Amino acid sequence: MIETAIVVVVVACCSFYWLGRLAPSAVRPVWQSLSRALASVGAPAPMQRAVAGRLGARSGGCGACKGCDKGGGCH
Amino acid sequence: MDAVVRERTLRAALVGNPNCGKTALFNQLTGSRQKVANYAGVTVERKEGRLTTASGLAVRLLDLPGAYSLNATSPDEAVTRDVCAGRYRGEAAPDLLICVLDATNLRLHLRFALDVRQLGRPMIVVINMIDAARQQGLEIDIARLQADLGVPVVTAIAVRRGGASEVLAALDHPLPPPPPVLPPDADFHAVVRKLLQDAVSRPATASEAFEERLDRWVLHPVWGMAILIALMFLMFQAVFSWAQPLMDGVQALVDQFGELVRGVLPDGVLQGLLVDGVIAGAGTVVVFLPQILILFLWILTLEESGYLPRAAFLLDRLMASAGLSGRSFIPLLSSFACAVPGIMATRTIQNPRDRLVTILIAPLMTCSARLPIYTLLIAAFIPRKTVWGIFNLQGVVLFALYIAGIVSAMAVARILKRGERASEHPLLLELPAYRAPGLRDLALGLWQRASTFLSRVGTIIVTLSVLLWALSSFPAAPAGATGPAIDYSLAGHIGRWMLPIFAPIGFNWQICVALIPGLAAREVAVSALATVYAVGASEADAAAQLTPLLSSQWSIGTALSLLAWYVFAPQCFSTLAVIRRETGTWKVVIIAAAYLFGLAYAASFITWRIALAFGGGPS
Amino acid sequence: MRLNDLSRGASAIIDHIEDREPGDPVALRLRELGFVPGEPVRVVAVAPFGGDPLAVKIGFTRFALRRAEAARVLLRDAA
Repeated sequence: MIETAIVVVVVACCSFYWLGRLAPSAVRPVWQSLSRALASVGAPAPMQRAVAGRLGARSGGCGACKGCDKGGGCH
Repeated sequence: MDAVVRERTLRAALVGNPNCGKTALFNQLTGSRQKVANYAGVTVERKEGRLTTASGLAVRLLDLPGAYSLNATSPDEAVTRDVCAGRYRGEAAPDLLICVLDATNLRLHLRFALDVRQLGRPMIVVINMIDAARQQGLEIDIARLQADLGVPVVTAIAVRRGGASEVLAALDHPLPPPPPVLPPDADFHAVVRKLLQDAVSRPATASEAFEERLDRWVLHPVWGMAILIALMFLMFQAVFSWAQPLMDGVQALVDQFGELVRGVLPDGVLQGLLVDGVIAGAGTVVVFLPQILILFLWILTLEESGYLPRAAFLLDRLMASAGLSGRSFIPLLSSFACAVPGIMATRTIQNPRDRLVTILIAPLMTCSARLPIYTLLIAAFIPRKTVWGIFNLQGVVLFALYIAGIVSAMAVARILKRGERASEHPLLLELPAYRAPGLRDLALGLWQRASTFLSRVGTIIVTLSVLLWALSSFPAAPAGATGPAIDYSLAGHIGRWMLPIFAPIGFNWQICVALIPGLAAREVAVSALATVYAVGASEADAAAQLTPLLSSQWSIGTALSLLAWYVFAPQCFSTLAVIRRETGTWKVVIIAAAYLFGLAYAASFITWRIALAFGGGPS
Repeated sequence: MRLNDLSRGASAIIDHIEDREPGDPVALRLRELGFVPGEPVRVVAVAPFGGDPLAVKIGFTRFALRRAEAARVLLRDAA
């Protein structure tokens, strides 16, 4: 059943996307092992960089500013 | 590698008074190569763009929030002060400060340029809107000004194509030496007066008289209010009527695409996923793009033209009666687009208490994400007829929903401010010159909104639609089941489990299911309804659109109750997240969510009861 | 006379800005916005619902101020 397989993969990807949005720490190990796997098989550099980018991505902060102080606003 | 690039890149920052045309110059210089971090607020966000000069120098240009002085009185100005002085954490000091001045308002703007010069950092001065100055018969002796100031001075016309060529050329010159600095106790105004005397000749002007005549109407106690109300009313009529043909077009495209997929793929789970999940879900929301763009076109035009501060002037007294100042008006108006930039725009409010109250009531302003829900329900349940000769009843209902949000916001502000001892709320708002909005800036603003909207559809909405489709399709109905398959699915169970909470306000279980993904963003509720009904529908009417489906299945009481719910419900994680970020405490977030949910439930309950009393319940 | 006593359309010259308290931030901001001795000011408009705030023109810039803010600006008659 190729159809069912496609549907399962798509639904799994969407769940993973939302897991990553709601709980970034839960998906971090997945990206970590993926980046190790890519490095060991010698995947193309852009692919490795993209995965490394997902690892480094962090939510929060005002735009690119990462120092939000208690009084509101960013300093 | 990074270090090599950094060496050849010039880091420059645009600074200037509000209304000096800084953002237009930024757009002109960087075009579409700009990065607006997360949200499009006018200049409350960190905006960075890239450009390359004729000689191949790469420049990273930062657009700083407008400021009247480096003695910051608002968080907004504090950002500008700290970045300019190189004290901003995580932000290296810019190599070059580009101080933008409005040529027609040099008296005020030159003082700020002196303020910036006191920092002793390399800077150039850009005299912007030089065309407007010439039109007014103003002669500015640039060479003289440059000699007196001791920094390079160039001119620009930010709104005209090629109007920034002198600025580009100036960037190619080697960095100017640090400028001369005045003793700290110097009288800046005296220096400005001397500069103006030396370098500027000004005859009395005609365009000023024009502005004054216009202001006599626009700021008039009676006519001014009439103009304001007419503009707002026209805005909502436009959102409803102008967008209709475009929306019909998009709807037809989506339908055709659905038919195409249905024809190509065999019946089965994959077809279900694509047609009932992705196309029904995301397609229903994409249809609202024209409406949202028209709303933004209005808001951008009002922002660019210089009208907004005048509206703030007219409404200051009303805001004061709710305990706020006219300054709160501008963040609240941007909240009509989206509460997120609106809440960020509260950084221009100096009084911390005013700022907090404005943040708490901003979610009550009807944001553009509520438009799809309002439009869907209005189109399904409110007859399209003309009232009082000229108005479309649907537009009137939409207007009333917006008014309901505003009135309740004022009431909440009033309650929150009660018991506060009388204190001063400074207004001190500049009423800038009127300006025809630049087409380029409007187009860029609309493009940013459209791409934000579409990328939300592509990520949040598509993925949620898929998940919701899966929840409503599995587990499949057992053999020999009589009811529709969706009744046996996970979504069906969840919906019925929530029903006891929401049945007293007239919601059915399908609405309950749609409310959960609707937390991610309000418009998702529409796509969720579409998916739930598409999966649940029998084969014959599966192709039918959501609107007729709803009007045949819901009572008017349910529809009105859901409308009332969405006037108040804080169904948006991004808003709650930005409240947390801007206030730095979860306490405010909890207060906001609790009071908004409470209001939503109460309003829906009352609406439902009234509808039942008038026979609007299920037949 | 103070700026808040000026009627619509009338002009005067600023004499000085009064601090309500030491280091009054509103007075400081007024000075930074160009409300300095010797500048001519004119009341361009008064708002509906009780005439607060005022729109004043100073130099070539217009500002909206509440009456409490305008009361810090002391005037002398236009020459």
